[in-house]
Amino acid sequence: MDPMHVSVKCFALARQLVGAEKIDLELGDDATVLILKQTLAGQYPQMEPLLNSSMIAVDGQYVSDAFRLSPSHEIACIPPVSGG
Amino acid sequence: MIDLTHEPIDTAQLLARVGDRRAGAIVLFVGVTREFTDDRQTAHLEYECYPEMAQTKLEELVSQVRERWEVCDIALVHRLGRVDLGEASVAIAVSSAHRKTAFEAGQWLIDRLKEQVPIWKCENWADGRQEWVHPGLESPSHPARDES
Repeated sequence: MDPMHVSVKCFALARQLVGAEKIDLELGDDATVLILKQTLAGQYPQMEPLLNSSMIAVDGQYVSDAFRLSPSHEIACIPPVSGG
Repeated sequence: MIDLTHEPIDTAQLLARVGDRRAGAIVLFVGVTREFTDDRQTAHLEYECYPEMAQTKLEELVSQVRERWEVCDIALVHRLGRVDLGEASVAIAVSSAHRKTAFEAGQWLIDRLKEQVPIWKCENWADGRQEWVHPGLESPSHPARDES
């Protein structure tokens, strides 16, 4: 199984917790959003409580845990929003 | 018209944008920076967004409003960066033939914006502390809080 390299945009508290606007991750080539979240939580344990209430967006749309990722996707971690 | 801007919001311009001869009502909602949340004092707010997705989500919501209600026009501006006390962080203007439609559509739009659009506010409290607002996140330093 070849690894897949993705980068994840981070905003608000997520950005603050990881100290970067974007983080690079290596995932299996059949990785889903759930695996992405588990990998993120493993590498950045400080993110775990926030990840539990965050959504993942792919190419600007919210996706479910079962969504299958590909390296061409633009991935973002979306903590609970507070606009307005 | 949908805009994400670092400049102060010009509500008169927003009202002018939705002016329409078919309209008998224009509703303008303005969200402003409140000084006190319960007993905590705010110095100012800072907003950030995921620009491409925020724009896309706002366009989707405006399309949904047009499907659900017979509005004449809609204009929406959200401010980014620092917003001082009393200043507008968001403004929505809706024009329609009758007032009920404009009120309902405007309320629906601001409610969905607050639930779905990737924009975040950071409280800059008067005591100097900063705190990102993430509704529902359970953490001692980030207590769940009510709507503004």
